[in-house]
Amino acid sequence: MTVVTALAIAVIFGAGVHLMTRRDVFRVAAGTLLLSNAAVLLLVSSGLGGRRPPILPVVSVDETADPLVQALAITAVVIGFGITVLLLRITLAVERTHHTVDIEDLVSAEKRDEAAVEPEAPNEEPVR
Amino acid sequence: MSPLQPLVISWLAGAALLMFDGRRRVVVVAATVVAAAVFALDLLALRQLAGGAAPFEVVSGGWPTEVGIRLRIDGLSAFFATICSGVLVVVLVHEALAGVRFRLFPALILLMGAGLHGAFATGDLFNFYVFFELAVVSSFALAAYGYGRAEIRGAFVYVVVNLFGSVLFLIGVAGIYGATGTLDFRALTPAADAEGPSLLLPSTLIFVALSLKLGLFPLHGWVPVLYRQARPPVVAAMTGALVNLGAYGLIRMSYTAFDGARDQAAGVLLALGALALLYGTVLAVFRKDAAELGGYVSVGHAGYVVLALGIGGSAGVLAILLVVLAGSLDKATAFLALDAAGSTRRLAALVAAASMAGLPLTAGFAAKAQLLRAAADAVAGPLVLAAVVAGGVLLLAAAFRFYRLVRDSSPRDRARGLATGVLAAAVVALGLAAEPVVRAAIVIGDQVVRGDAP
Amino acid sequence: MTETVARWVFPFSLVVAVAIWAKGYAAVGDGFSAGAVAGLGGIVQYVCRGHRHAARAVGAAQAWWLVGGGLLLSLGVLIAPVLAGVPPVTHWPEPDAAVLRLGIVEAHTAVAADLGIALLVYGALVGVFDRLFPPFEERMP
Repeated sequence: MTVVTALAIAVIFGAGVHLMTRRDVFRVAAGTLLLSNAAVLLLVSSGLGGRRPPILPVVSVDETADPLVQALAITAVVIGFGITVLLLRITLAVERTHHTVDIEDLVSAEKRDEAAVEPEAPNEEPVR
Repeated sequence: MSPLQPLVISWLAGAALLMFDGRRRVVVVAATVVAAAVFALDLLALRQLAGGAAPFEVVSGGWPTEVGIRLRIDGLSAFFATICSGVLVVVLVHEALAGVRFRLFPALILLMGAGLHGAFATGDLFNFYVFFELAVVSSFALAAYGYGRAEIRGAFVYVVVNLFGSVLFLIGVAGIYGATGTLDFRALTPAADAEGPSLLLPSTLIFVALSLKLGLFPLHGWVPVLYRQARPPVVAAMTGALVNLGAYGLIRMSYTAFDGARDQAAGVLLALGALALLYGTVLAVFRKDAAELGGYVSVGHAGYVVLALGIGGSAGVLAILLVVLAGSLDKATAFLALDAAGSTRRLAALVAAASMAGLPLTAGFAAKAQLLRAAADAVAGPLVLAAVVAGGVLLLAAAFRFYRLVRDSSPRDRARGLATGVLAAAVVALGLAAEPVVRAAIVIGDQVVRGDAP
Repeated sequence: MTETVARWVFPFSLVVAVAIWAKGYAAVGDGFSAGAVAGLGGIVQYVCRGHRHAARAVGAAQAWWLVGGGLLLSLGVLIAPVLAGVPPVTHWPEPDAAVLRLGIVEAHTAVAADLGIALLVYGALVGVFDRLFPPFEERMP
């Protein structure tokens, strides 16, 4: 059970990181969503083993799931949900203002905006 | 329950103001009044706690300590809370003077303040995560203020990078809970000694996540981008308030949950801090844009914090406290100056630059002096001192370049200088009358190092 | 046909949401999932019925009030008592004390806080989607 969960976390985390390295901003946003869910799954995995919900009356302590872990997981899910909604809204705004979803285009837009502000030194590359 | 009042008041007020249009004068005034009240309450709490009162503690729900979440407000919490609420009041006034253009601005500033106060007041690792997410998510929304192309780009980078940091923090917390079965700072100290090695990975992850929030090299990439793209008042709020979360987290965890780890990692901390300091200041000197320069100076300051953390002991913690105080005020002044015009702009920029460079008569001087003193006594001696001195010289160059850049440019938006002037005056005032503040900081630093069980 | 089904999905999702919220004190269920389920029902309206009908059906104009009201309810029940000197998140009635039942719902601070969260999540989902929708519609042929 633990091995399966660990594998699942690894796959989701890997998929998330892979998506975050893509050029499409929506893929990046999707990648962050996967990442936060992988972290939540990791949280849940630290409380594996219980079968019954932690609600009174408690039949046997060993069979009851750890309520603290569940509370942590729901909190993390809600926070991730809120951030994802915000991130998607910002991504949509990026798409609407720049008319592109490609990160390379955003970078060139940045360089163009920068050059527009400082016309006297077009050959100096800002170090990031 | 008085020390919890700032948290409760700002949270409730932020929630209430969400429903109303923040552009209306009455809403902005209400928010400013609340923020000012919160600042006053924080100052009172700080005076009590630095004057020797016992730390305030309460467990949520009245449950026994191991079951409930512990809230604890001691000198360190009050110190950071006062700095942050002070900066936030000034930012609110600054925006109020020109008219707010974003419906949610006052509510978001208040909610950010609530998140910060909660993070400073908590004694539980996961609760810390929740409150700092509250503060950080409010700042996400604020970062996009203005909805221009640049702001949206900056906000996107900021959100993605910060979310990654949060994920790392969460994984670290999961690891710690799995290994020790507790999340309470006080309970973690003995557990950390017992578990030792198995906590190495989670604590490293937490350190990485906090450094990312702080903007420490090599996780600093988002800082110059964001500081350049977002509106100056928002950046002032972030640099003067939000970044302090990272510093607070590092201090708090180093001296409670990860005490032993801090001693072992002192060398790494010193090296990272020195590297960040030099990298940030060298790059700052060559910037062409004042806001970006401010961003790199911020990276350098993050280096100071970690360097002082590596030095450790009362001297090191005192240095961090003073660096945070001076740094928050002068960076906030610097960014608010970008919105001012005329003589206020030049004067505020001059004061901010002088403080960043650590010149006498400004708050930065006390911080720099203490840092040099701490570095001179440190075990790693000459190298650390050399790094601090080199960083100081570079900062001097960067600060004056900042002053010239600001002097030669004009505000991006509408001009207003009153709040900036007040903040600049505070910087100078602290420089002239540093004694009481330093005394309070010494008391607080000793409390932290003694480990008065947070 | 899609539209008719979509129209009926919303009241059903509301019923399910209320059920999840109401039984949360005695069985598995809580305010967040209740708000999320109701919000999903609302979002289906936007996708299947078009902005105008959907906005009227889900009450998008009240989104901010739901968000603020829900948040204030939860905070007021859990955090505001701190101003009166009580530790935060103190529940009333205390554990093992007698509880007043209104039908199937208990009059307990935890239930009220959950209601606040459900309203908050529903208002947030519907409000965000309401703002997001016009761009999609504009782009359709």
